[in-house]
Amino acid sequence: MNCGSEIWNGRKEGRQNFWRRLYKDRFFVAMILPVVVYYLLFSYYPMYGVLIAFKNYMPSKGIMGSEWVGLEYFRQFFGGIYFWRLLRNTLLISVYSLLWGFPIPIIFALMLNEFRDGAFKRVVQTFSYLPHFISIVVTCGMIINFLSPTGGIINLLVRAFGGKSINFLGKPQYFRTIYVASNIWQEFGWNSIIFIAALSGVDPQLYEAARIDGAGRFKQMLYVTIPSIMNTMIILLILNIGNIMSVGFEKIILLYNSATYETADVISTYVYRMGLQSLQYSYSSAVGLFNSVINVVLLVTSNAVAKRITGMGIW
Amino acid sequence: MKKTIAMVMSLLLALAGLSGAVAEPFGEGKTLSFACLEGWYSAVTVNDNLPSWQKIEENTGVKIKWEANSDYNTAMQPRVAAGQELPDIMLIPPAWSNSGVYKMALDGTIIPLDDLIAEYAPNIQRVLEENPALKGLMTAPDGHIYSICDTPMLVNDLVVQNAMFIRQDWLEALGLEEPKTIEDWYNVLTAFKGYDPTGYGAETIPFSRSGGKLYDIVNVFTCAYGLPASTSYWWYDEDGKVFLTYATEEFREFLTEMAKWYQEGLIDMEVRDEPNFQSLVSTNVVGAFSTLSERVKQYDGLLATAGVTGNHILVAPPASKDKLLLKRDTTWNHYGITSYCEDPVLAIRWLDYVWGSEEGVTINEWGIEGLSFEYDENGDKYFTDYVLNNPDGLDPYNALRSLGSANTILVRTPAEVYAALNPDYVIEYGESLLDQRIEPFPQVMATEEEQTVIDRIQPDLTTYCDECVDKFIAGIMPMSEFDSFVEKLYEIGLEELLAVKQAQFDRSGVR
Repeated sequence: MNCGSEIWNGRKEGRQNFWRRLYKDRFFVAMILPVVVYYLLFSYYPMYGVLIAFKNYMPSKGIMGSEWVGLEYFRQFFGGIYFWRLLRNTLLISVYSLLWGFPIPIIFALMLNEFRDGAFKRVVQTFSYLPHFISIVVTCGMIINFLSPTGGIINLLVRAFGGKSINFLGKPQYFRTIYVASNIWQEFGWNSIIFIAALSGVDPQLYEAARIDGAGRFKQMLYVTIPSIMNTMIILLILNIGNIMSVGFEKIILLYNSATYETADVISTYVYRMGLQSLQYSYSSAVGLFNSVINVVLLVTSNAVAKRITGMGIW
Repeated sequence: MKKTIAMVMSLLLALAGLSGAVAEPFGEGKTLSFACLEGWYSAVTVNDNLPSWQKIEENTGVKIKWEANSDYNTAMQPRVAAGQELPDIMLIPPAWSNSGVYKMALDGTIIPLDDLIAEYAPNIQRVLEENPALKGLMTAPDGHIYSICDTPMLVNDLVVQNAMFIRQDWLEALGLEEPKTIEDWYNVLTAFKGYDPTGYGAETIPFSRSGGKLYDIVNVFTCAYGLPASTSYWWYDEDGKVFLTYATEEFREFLTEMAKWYQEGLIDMEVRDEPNFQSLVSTNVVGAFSTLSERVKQYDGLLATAGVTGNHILVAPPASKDKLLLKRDTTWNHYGITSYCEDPVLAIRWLDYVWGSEEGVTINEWGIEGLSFEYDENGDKYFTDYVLNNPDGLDPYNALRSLGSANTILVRTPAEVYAALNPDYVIEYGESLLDQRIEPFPQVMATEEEQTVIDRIQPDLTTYCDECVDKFIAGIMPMSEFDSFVEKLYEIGLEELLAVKQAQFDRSGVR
């Protein structure tokens, strides 16, 4: 009896506590409110529209009024001739981006960390993240110009060494390399910022202790620096894996052409062509939904794996 | 002095009387919203209610709330999809196509116009009666008319889509004849390949063109193989049987030749948009290309501006027989009155004025009397120096477009406008090829069932075709795989789609 009433009292107290704490932290709450509203408005509210993937959506009838067709559009997509190719391209472009794009900012941050703070370090860091601010359209224009078989600088070099002009953007075998390499060029500096921040938080006493134990610079990096930023690395890796299926379509649309669909056409570009160009709203929603489901599965799995192996995860 | 003024005044009044009875403003104080394509002269926007449209506003009394957009599909399709409120009159997306019309009619997004036209639009009524073929193309499969469309049909006899442009000075410098057959073209382009017009070793691009894919560059040459020039997908044989041109033996021969040309560097490797292509032309490296005949002045101008002495001549495409040069499509954009329109009668009367009436068409095509055109003593219209020798240096089309005329907004362009805007040799070139011209594959509106089949199969099929054709030309796919390419088309559902196209063709009454 006694026990029970205590719990009850505790609960009541907890509730009062909640309101009191809420009031105490009202400024923090006010700060986070816009973000919550943002997600509710732009991420949760539109989910209602996912319904049209299961309906034959007609604009005039509205979402609720359109006729149910169940999994018809999913069947159409899985049975279509492009399903495997889209899946393969999406996965490969993402996996390559992750494989090459993930370690490079870390390595860059580690290298930068070995410099003493000063003008040189700051200049290098600033220059490394400047490309991040170039708009994607401009970046693609630069890529197209540099790789042009007639006047592009790369082909001028090729010809200067006696080679023949290569139409880089017209050949499927080059597309992924161009995409991934230009992405890394544009983003590695920006992505390294978070690691540099993590590195600056490492306790200098740890290095001192390592040095006393006789560790050289390389050993210090291996046994002090990397373990200290492991947490950050794993969380970012999980987040990246969760995004693996969402290859941005803007850059691909700006760079691909019919001749390179073989390696360049991904789910998001396909959704764009079907939905906005061919007006197949329901079909493209179904494809998009499939994409998101895969993403969620990947995120949950990678988080579980990371938790089991390292004991760390994002939830 | 007073006398003269009086005389001038009365003369002016008489002239005003001559220039046609001015319609009574029927929509004083009323407003319509109208969504359409942005004008082609990018320095102005029709959203600013340009002078020609102010004139129309004056004559009709109707104030237009413009919603013009150059990226029309991207702007309008999501709005339609989201079921948002639409303008009173709108270009039915997608632009340059009739594929949205019946869909939106079935949706109830646009309203049938038959009764409105019969009652309130005598001019539209007359145009449709005079042109049964046009009426056929505007009629949906259920027998109703839901749209008014842009049509270039009256000028199509003069416009050559696939005019062959070739550098006259290059031909002369190399001592070559104008190419006539496909073999001639091969020889001329090969000679161009080794030619150095600049004198400091620039590499030439013998044949190029702007477009979205590699095939666009060379597609004019399909006419050398018995297929229509620049064929895209559907055509029919003597018995009226519809087929996919890409799956034919003739197309295989065409691709084989083009792959050879590509390999030998006779055709451009790069896909270029129009501005990119124009800057290429002005660098004096392009020997020949194919585009609209009316652009010859524009391209010669590019050379002149860049300080290159040289010019292009127009030669006949190397067609293997007559009737292979397609005319432009008879209908372009379709416009409908939406269910959101509160005053459909006003809307149809406005459309009747702009698209149907003599006066409306005149303003839409000739611009403003006294500024861009005048009447001569016979009452015929002619362009003034404002258009033909623009004080600001604009070419004739852009001069008109700076007023808001000569765009693709509810057009029904009369032939004499085209003749007046273009040099004689362009008109003569068009006339010399009249025997070779043929109407394009009819654009019949699809029924609901047909549209379902088209939606399901056509996007995959066209993607696959476009992709493989480019790969064959670029040598990425060897020609030996052509058979498996055709097989794959049947796998995607070519047969079912052909049945639909056949049914549409039979309905069109072309045969």
